[in-house]
Amino acid sequence: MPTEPLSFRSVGHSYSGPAVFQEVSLSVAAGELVSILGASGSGKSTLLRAAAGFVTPTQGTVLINGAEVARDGQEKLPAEQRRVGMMFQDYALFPHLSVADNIGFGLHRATNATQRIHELLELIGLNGLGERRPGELSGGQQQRVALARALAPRPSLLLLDEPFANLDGPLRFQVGRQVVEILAREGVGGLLVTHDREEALGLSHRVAVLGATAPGPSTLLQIDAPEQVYNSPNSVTVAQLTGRVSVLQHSPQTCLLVRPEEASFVSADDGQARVTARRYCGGGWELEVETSQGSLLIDQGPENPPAVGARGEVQFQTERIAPNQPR
Amino acid sequence: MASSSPLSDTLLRRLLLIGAGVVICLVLLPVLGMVMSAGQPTGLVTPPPVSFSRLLPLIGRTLALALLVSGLSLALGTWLAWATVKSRYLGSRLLAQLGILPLVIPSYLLAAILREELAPRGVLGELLGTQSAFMGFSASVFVLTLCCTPYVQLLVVASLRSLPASEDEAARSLGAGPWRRFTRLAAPRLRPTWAFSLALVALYVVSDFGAVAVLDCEVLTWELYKARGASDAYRIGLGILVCALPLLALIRLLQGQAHPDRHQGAARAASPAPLLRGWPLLLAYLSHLLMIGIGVAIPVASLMGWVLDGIEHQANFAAIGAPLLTTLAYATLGAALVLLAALLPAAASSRLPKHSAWVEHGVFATSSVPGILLAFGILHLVLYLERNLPIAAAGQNLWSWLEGGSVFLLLGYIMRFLSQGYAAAKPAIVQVDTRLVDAARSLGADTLRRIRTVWLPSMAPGMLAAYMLLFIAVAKELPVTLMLLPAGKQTLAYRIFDGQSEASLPDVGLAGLLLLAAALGVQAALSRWRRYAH
Repeated sequence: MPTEPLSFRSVGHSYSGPAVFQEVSLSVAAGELVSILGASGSGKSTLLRAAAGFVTPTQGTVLINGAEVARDGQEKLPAEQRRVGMMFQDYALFPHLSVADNIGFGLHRATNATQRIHELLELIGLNGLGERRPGELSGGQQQRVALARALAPRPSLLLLDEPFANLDGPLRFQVGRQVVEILAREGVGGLLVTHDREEALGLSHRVAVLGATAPGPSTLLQIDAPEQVYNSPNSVTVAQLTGRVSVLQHSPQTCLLVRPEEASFVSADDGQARVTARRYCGGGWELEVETSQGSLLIDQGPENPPAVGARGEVQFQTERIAPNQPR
Repeated sequence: MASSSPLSDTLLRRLLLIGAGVVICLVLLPVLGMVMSAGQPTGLVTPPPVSFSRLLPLIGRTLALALLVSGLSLALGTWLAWATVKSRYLGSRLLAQLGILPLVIPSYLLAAILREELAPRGVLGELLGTQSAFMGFSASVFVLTLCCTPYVQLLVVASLRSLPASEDEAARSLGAGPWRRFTRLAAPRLRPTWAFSLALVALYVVSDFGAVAVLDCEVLTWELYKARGASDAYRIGLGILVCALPLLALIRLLQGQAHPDRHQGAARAASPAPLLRGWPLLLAYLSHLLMIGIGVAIPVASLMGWVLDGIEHQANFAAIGAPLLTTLAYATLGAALVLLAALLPAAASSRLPKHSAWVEHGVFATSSVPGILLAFGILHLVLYLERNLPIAAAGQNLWSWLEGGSVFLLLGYIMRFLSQGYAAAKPAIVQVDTRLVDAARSLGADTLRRIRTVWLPSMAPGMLAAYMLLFIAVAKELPVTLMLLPAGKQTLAYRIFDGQSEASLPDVGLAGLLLLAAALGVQAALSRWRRYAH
């Protein structure tokens, strides 16, 4: 049975104070991209850096390719010996080295370094730019160089720390798709940290949501395929972190989670609901509607939007119930 | 309605420029004095003639000293900076902070202490079994390396901290160990800082007078002092200029490149640095031991020991009272004058960007003349004026009267510390919120009122900090004080220099402790103040 490139077992960490996260267990398979989604301060970057070896988690075990690299606050293998590729938000390209030297940095003892550099330059579509300095490249090109550099030593795991955050919308997804394709082609497992839910849902095979349902350290709330996490969140926090959602009162113990596209507003003079605000969003209208169970957002078609103050009924296409959470 | 302005902005600009120009022109005075000294024996001392055949070895020895000290300081400073910034070990932060304390100890004091303690009959000398006196070239290399290493360390630390932490992490994730990260990532980026540090340390060594004088090292500055009365002493002065000017030019050239880019460093907080283990850890502790033990602990312990010895032998410490008062008086007045003089070029440079370049170059050129050369030039200018342009005033020659009134000494302090005052005053001016000035203007305040109500209160904290630093600098100053202090007076620095040559160690101990306490007190106050301000 092939070993998984990365495995966290009951991992927790604290920076000389209360724990940032605890009891996180997840693994990444070869060729799979797992995204970690979480609010600011939830510890998603810390988790990634624990895999890289820049942070030694205070609890639990980290395994890379089946070998223990950290256990209960003890570093077993330093970062430079883990052979794990990493892409950084600011790319962290070495500005004084050429593109080729950057890519070849991790290959200094390899016999076929030049060939591998050419291979990677071709893979990222930057043939002929090997002698340029990173500063002479566009943001997207720099991003691809960072990817090639991380992949050069043929790691079995690639860690991606918000690597697309500095790219504009269309380029962001284009480069993201390329990264996923290359990971699959090279059979490399990937762990992506992002705060962008569209990126997480659109690029990865599985999404891990890190957060807390009550005050305290974060835990792994749910890990599933993107559509599963979006459509069947197991808590209010997961629903909120994975997309727009309205939380309506259902019973003293439970609440109703409604995505804006899963409800519609039908005008009726004697209706119980009332439109309190509306906003044009390009393809249609976003309505804010007040009901007896609470306020909710509804995506309405582009034609004949109800006016602010209009009364009507709200129709739900699905009913998703989750336990109430302390606010 | 706005009140009529008694001082228009245009007039103020002109006054600023003229003032800055006058201050910068001070640089010509010592040069003029040096020219005047040619062929004019002073009768101060009867020194041996300064032939060119004697001058060349002196230049060679001075440059060799500068080269050796620069190289050693660079190696030690870089190692200490790397160890404390890029790795972790027990007590590294505290040791790094203690390691820069030798900066507050004047080179002449450190030299005097180590000369005594490392002598065959000194405490360390007996311990180490030394056979010969701690004097001369190699002793000067040792002392000056201790004095200069903290400068290099601070510069390299700043450069290392400016490198994005993610680059280091990227290299680690690619399998690069500490040595490879240093040679491939840090070293190429440190080159401008190294070049700047080398030039800075070399200029410090070429200009140093205190350590080489105490250790009787035959280099240009010490020989110029000994030959100050000779008609051809100016040749040694020229030798100093030949060594110092290229270094000064190099420093100005490299200054912009060596300053780290702060924006890069702010990109992300560094992750905990890797633990230092094995022989590098041992080497780090040994380096700290050298810097803190010999550069700080032994000097302080020696000074205290000498004072206790003096108490035991009922030494007359009251004799230190007069030098202490003189030091306080000169430091108080000197620092104020330096700051006032520095304000003109600082204001001109920050408010009139078109003129900023020449003002800045002029200021640094003025202050970069080695202290001993500056004092020599002024001394000979005074002697020339006394002889050739006598003006009667208050029953005596005006020039002698001005000399006796310490006017030339204070002028020397202004020239010596102008760039230090400028460097402190300029940020204080630049940081004034110009929106407040505009607000005052819109409310009808004229130039003088704006200066009084907005500029001065906003600048006050920065200027006070600058004043405190200048106060200490003037209090510790030696070469200008030695040459231009009116007869019959002594400062603490002067007393230390005299005391060590007369082996009057209790006096040296007390004077040294007073200077160190003042310097440390000012540093601690400023550090607390900065922390509070942030």
